[in-house]
Amino acid sequence: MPLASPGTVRGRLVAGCGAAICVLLAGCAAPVLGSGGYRHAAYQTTTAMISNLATARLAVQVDLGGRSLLAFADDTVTFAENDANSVDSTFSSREPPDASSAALRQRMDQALSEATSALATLRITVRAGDRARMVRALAAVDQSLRTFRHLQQELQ
Amino acid sequence: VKSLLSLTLGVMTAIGGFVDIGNLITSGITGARFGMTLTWAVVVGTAGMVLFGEMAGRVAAVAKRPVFHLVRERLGARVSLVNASACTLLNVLTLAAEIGGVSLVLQMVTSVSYLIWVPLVGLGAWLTVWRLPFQAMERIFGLLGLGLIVFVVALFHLPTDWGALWHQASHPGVPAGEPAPTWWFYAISLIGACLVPYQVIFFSSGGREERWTTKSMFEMRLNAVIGFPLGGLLSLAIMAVAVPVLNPRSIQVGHLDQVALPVATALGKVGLALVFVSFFAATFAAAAESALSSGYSVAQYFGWSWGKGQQPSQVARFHLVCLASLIAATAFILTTVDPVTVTIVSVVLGAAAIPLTYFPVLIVANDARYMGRWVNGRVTNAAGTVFLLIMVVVSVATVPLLLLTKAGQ
Repeated sequence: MPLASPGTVRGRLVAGCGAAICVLLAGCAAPVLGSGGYRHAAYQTTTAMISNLATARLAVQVDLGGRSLLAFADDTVTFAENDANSVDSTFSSREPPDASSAALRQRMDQALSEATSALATLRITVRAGDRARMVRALAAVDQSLRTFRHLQQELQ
Repeated sequence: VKSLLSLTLGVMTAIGGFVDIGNLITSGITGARFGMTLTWAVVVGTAGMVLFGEMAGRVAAVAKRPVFHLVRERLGARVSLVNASACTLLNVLTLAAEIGGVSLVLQMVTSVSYLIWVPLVGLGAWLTVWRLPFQAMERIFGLLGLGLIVFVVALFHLPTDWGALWHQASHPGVPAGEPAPTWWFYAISLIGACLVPYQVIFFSSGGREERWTTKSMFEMRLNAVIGFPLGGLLSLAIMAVAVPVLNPRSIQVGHLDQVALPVATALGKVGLALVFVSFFAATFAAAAESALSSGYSVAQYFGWSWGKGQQPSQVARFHLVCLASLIAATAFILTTVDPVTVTIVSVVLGAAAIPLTYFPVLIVANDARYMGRWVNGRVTNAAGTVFLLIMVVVSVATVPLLLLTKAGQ
């Protein structure tokens, strides 16, 4: 059997490395979704956001009722806020495949932006220990929660 | 009175020691998401732990030699190397999860980032492994871990619909709107959380540390038959409190704080303080136990001297392995990998490796040359074999489910 020339071997190596890099890059990038896939991603985003908002809401309600410790409430709200930011950036990285998806993205972006902002405000008021402002911040979280529940129902 | 006290303490430590970060997280996640529909998985996992824990304890008491030393002798160096390697790798992964868990508990109490606590927890675990006497370690953390009973108390203070809980537990099935692969993935996670390999290594090696003989058989069996099931009951209580509090609010558990929220809702600050203490004790004890188990499995495979009862200078290689495991696990968690994800992956991989880690125990416990009249009876053998066959199916399904569900998403 003839041996491969050094040039052929080098060529195969380059091609192999190129293929490996392509596979790795494909793994790093968000997959391109169709309209149905985009709606499903939006549905999963609403589910995750409802969980984050409801967690922060419950933690602060328990704290306002004098049944929690400040560090615990702060920690729980901070985790919820961080998770919400992560969910927001994951969804924002997805390209809407068509016009109806673009419209959905616009609504989702606004809801996500309001939710992350409400959670940030809530976290700041919890750390400050300002109960009056906590109650007001909680109202904004409630509003975001209603928005996401409505969106979730639509996407179901 | 002294022996009765020792017996009670042993059982209580088994209860407290059964629940670790894996049980805390998986019970919280499944209760919030699937209600009590995965109760059967905790029952299966606990039954397996009782069965194989008793076998390993019996081997340690009768043969007066650690289980994995006998495994090497019985199965040969090559086959048992696979077993020892799998156990040690899983121990280190579990240790990383436990160190992350302790650090998360400290973050809950102090608001200081868990990453700051990780090296301190690693250091604390090493000092515990190195300096604290075996029984003191077992009893202090085991008894503090009993504070998890607060979850049972909370269940009675919450507006619990007992009929609905019982219905979900007795009619297992995938809840509406949930994907079946994810439900099965978490069933495997729960089984894996109950059957973490370090538990059987620690239980049998601990038996040698406490110098069990055939006279200790009653104490050992009581620990296994009462302690582990009561530990399983605590896991179910953690799952159950999530049902009336987290499930109706569509809260999906992704952090340890969320597991504690139902107790704060039901019992306020006192309940929350008890949760902190018991979470800390359960995860810290498990960290020390899994570090020790790495030392036990490696030392027993190579036939080195081992044990906390001996001077560290006499068992230097054993302590070196414990220290190396602690350093590796601490370094892994310091990479900022999410401790909850590490926990889920460790319990799932633990479930996949059950046949590998538990099969040799069955072989040795079934060998009359080692066990004499204490060899496995027909019922034990049949139960052990059926259990392992189920676990083979589980281990084949584990990795595909892990990939298919993106670790339970």
